[in-house]
Amino acid sequence: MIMADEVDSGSENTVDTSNMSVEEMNALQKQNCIFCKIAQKQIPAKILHEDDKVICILDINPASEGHILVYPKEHYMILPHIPEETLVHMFRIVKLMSNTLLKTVQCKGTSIFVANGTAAGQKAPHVLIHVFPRREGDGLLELPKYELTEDQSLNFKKMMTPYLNQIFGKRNINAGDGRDSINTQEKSHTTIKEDRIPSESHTTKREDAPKKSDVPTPKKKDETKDKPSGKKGNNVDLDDIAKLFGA
Amino acid sequence: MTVNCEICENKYQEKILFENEKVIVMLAVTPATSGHIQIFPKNHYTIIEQVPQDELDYLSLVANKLSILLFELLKVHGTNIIIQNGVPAGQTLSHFSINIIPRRTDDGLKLDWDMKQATPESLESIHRIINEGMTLLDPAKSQDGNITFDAPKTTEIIKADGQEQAFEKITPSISNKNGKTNYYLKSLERIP
Repeated sequence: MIMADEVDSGSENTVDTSNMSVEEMNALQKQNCIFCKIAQKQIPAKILHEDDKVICILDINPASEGHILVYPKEHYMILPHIPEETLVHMFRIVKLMSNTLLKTVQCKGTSIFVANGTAAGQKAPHVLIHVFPRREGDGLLELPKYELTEDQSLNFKKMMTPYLNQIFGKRNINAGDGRDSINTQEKSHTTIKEDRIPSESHTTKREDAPKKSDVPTPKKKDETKDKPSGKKGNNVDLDDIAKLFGA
Repeated sequence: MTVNCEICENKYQEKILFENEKVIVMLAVTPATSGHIQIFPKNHYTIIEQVPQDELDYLSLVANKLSILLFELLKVHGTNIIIQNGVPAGQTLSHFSINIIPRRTDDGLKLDWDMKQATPESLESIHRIINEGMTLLDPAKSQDGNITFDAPKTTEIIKADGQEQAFEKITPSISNKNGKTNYYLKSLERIP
């Protein structure tokens, strides 16, 4: 039996993938995907949250203690493959997990990290959002400084502006080759604009935004501020973390 | 308008690529690679926990779309989406942002960490700590109302999503036409 398995996996590795469609590729990877198996409870893991779309587990190779992986139960390779509703849901769960970490583990910050493609450091064939606690001087995820020249900046601006305008649904005269792909995306943005953000007025008065009653999620931030700090104890106040800037 | 915020005070106007009533897209203030862009909510928040759900939804969609755009436009081999949430995480601006970093195989960026395996005991203990914390954070279970937790409960999320099925499913733009190299597929192939 073991031999047969080995032969199987061996032959799969040598399959010529260059002409495969994304679907075929997905099917192949899904068979061997450890994260799918965890979601299907075939492999045990420390699960922190689970719903119909998303599962959160502890990473067994943590960058820091409390490293959480948030990922869709459905098999997707990279973030761009994920349907929008799942994507949005994932980021909500990421926020929840980050919040949980700030309040349960001794840390004053969290990193949220996604790698799309091996060049970006992706190691598993299943899209993962990493959320892990950060502490001063832990040396993780240090971004180098790249010196962008004036010319490069201008070039980027020139190149990207028409596409950005298209993505956000603004017609631009210099729109170059009108690509279908981005046009379809533009459509979805219009939908979101209509569905989700009924009030445009809050943009003019930034200070009022958190208090507005027509924002779907009731914000409790202001309450926190008003309360005396006597309640603290072990409870980490998010405002403290936000205020580390001294601003 | 928040005082002492470089983004709200519009100090990097020359870097702005796009701006609407909800979002500011700009070339990164301190880029990590060429083409590194940063997405800011127009309203001032410092950390993700403060960003209201509807705004976070919008930002996450924008982040994904811009990541796709960088793939296609810059012909890069990968992208990183990074949120530096809090000063220890490397956050330098007091305004919340999502970083989209285009990656090339030879860019020399090292964002990995040591792949040290955690012991079952340490996983067990941290799992218990986080799980207990989550129970405490559950607003339904905190009677004193001391703990503020503005993220929705899981059940609420599911419900909310049920109602929001209306919004369109978008398949990513994987275009093979015109003999264009497909960068998604390329990246897929490289994954072990």
